[in-house]
Amino acid sequence: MPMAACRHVFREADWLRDQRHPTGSLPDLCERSKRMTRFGLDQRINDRSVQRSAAQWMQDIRWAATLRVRDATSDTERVFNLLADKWRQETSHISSITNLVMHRSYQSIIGMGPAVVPLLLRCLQQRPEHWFWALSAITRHNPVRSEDAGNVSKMTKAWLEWGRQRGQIQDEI
Amino acid sequence: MTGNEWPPGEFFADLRTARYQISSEKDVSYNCIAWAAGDTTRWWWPDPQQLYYWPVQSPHEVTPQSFVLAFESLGYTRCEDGSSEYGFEKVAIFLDWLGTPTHMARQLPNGQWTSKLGGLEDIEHETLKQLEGVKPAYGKAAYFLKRRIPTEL
Repeated sequence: MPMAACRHVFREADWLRDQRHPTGSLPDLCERSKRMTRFGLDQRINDRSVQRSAAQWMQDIRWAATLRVRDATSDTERVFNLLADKWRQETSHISSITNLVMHRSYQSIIGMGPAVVPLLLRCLQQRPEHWFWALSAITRHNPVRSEDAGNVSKMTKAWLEWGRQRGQIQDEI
Repeated sequence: MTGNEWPPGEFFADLRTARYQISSEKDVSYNCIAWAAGDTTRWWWPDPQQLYYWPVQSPHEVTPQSFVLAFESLGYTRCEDGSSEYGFEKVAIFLDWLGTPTHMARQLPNGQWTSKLGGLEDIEHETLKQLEGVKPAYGKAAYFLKRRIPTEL
């Protein structure tokens, strides 16, 4: 196993251990990558399968690091992203707005209060999703005209305009 | 596209082995109720906050009666079951174990059914049973309505 690669894995694992973990499994990931590398060093194995496994661990570590940098700019955003992803995963087939908004993750997002309003609006900037109920519950506003109720595109536009007027979001460049 | 190339089997156990066809792209602008009513521009739901579209003739409450009234306003009348009847199109209302509406499907001229799966795709499926089952499936098809298909002169 190339020594340079081993040292690189150790460096990355150490760096990651000092960071806040983006996922619960990251400490385990670091430990396992170290174990793998130590195994390669101890045995002085020049075996392709071990090299491949070590390379895979390094890739996983890099991916985890990228996730951390991209997603976890703040605790609120990190928690919001985790909850929103879980909600998307578990409710994509649901038509019932009642069931969509009563999902535990959706309710947890509402429970995070006004801090998530800019995050909800940013989500709407990226793609149409059913964040209207949460926005309405948190802000106690509904900027959507009654004749546009249910028109997801017009509902999105109305909420984004509301957000811009209140400085909650900026125009996308 | 048919069969097991797509994740609905994750939600509907009976779709894992059954035949179905995906008949649209993913789209969050309309849901199964809108699709059953032939509307692809709005998300229909009788939420008490009235954030979503619901026909004015029907109350904003999530009950089977409200769904029946909404579709009666479109010319449907109650019927016994989802069996194919010449000259009629039918819709089915799914209820969960508490009796709350969760989903609607529309019968196709060939006797099969079409459903919009939330914000996912529309599918064509042979039977209603394929979408039945405990959560995360839709419960049971419990109410049926029909209306005469207009004939061309």
